[in-house]
Amino acid sequence: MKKLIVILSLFLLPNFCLASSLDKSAVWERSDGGISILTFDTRDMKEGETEDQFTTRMIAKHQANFGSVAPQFVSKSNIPTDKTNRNEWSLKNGKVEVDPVKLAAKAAKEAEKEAVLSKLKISKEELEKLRGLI
Amino acid sequence: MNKYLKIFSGLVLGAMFCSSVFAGTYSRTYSFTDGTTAYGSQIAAELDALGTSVNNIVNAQIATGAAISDAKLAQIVTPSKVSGAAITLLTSVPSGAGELPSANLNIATQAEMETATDTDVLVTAGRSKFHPAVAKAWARFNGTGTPTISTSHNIDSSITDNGTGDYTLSFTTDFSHATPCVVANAGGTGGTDDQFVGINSSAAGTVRIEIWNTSSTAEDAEIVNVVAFGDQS
Repeated sequence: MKKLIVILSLFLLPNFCLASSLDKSAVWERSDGGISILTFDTRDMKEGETEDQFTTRMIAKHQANFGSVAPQFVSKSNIPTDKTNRNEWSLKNGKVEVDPVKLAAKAAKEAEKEAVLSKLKISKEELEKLRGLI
Repeated sequence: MNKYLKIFSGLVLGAMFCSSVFAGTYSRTYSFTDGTTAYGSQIAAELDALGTSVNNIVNAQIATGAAISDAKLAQIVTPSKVSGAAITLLTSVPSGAGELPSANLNIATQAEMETATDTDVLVTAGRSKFHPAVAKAWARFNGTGTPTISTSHNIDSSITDNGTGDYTLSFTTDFSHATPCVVANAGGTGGTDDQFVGINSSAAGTVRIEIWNTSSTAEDAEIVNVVAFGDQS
């Protein structure tokens, strides 16, 4: 019995000590093509406030930055945890995922950059050094 | 005849004595050790006057060096019993006097805090935030992964992630104007990450910041500090 209490405590303690967020996030598709994701941290919940009231209040605070675009609720499990290609994310069918079109555009831009460096016969490191000197 | 005259005179004198006693005009004489004498009626009158005086002590009857004991002073609960400059002339409040009523303290109002010029008003914990030199909001958060605030004041923990190194924070209590002064910096826990922070936009309720590395490439930061000054309602 004592072991059970200790094990349960070890599992429950982090929930009290660390910040926790709702399982859903509000996602806006911006006019510039990017997406903004609002994570609802439960530390902001007011006493007696329901989850719906809380999310509505927090969305209202951030809505001014997105004009008339309404956010969509997306489950956290449908949002990538790897942010390597964060700026290439898109919202499709209620899921946030890396957009292959945006990724291809990014790759093309990188290739263009490499081509210019190759023509100049300098490496990325040398470009950075040059940038620091300018 | 002589016999009847004596009897009659005795009756007259007896009647006079009795009438004086029962009419209350007779008064015993008291002698004091200093040689003075006084009738009982006079002493009674003095005592009556003294009794009246005890209940109506005026300032003139109190000796200059007289003091009221702490025990008696503590019993004064009626505000009108203390008047004049008795308290304001004190250079310090006697120990054990307890807290002074807030009505006797010159506490700075929100307007006085915001004007920030008065030098004879007291600042309280609940109104210190209204002084223009005090930061109205601040936060430290980790911008990698899901942006997470570690410590803050008047900034919501719910953050909007707009992209790599791009975050929107909201104020718990809005500013009264759309142009708060926002200061921010960023870096890594290793101490070798040079990063730059720019204020993309700010409003009464939010501020959007962006972070780049030395190659001018947007980048998330492990440590982001944001401080905002301005006026709040």
